[in-house]
Amino acid sequence: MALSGRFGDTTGRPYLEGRLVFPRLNLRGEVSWLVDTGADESMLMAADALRFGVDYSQLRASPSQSVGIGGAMSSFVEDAILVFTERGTVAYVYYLSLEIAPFSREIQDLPSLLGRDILDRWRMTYEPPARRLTFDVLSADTTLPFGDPA
Amino acid sequence: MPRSDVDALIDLIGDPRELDRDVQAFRRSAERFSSDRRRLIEAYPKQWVAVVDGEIRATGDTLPAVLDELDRKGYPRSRALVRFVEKNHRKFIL
Repeated sequence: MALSGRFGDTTGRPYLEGRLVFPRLNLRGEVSWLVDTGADESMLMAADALRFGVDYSQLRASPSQSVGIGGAMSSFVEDAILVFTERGTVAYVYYLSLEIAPFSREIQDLPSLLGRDILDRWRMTYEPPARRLTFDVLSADTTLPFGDPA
Repeated sequence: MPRSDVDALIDLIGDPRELDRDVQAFRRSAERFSSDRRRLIEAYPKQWVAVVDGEIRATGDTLPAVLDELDRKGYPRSRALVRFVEKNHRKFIL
């Protein structure tokens, strides 16, 4: 068993869905992450942040700028928990300081990015011709088998 | 991990089985958006679209308008896939 991602039907972009929790903000929900090995760190885009109900005035500034092909950007950071599940068997939990992008019309269609802060802990099988995108989890901060009694 | 820590974690993230079901349902919404992309571009160019449980539940010119419509209709934002539909395909170099 492994985490199962997917490819966009028309774009072919690689995605993985998971749960995101902001403990301090008492917010949680699902995110469709664009798998991005070019991203040093994962980043939540403003559309997802606003959907979650994130109040930007409560966030602290990220200690470093983020740089992409479009230029540099100042972002925010918040302690977060990411959870990914092997369907019906186990949940993998990751704790991180998640970058959060400010809203910008120029990138409003950009999905949130899953970066190497998480991807480096997995072995990825990337096979678009077979529409196969899977992730073998090599390490996680916490593992919760579904068989654990509540 | 001590039982009390597991319980505290589950309180934060949700019961793993329910979490898995929610994530799978969200994935179906994402797949629906993806498979309908061409139709969405024709029907809702330069608009925001929200998909919940595999169905389009709200559309609008602005993100706040779509989120407000989701709220009015009683759909939880946390489970909605919300995307801006660009009229012309843009390639991502990330």
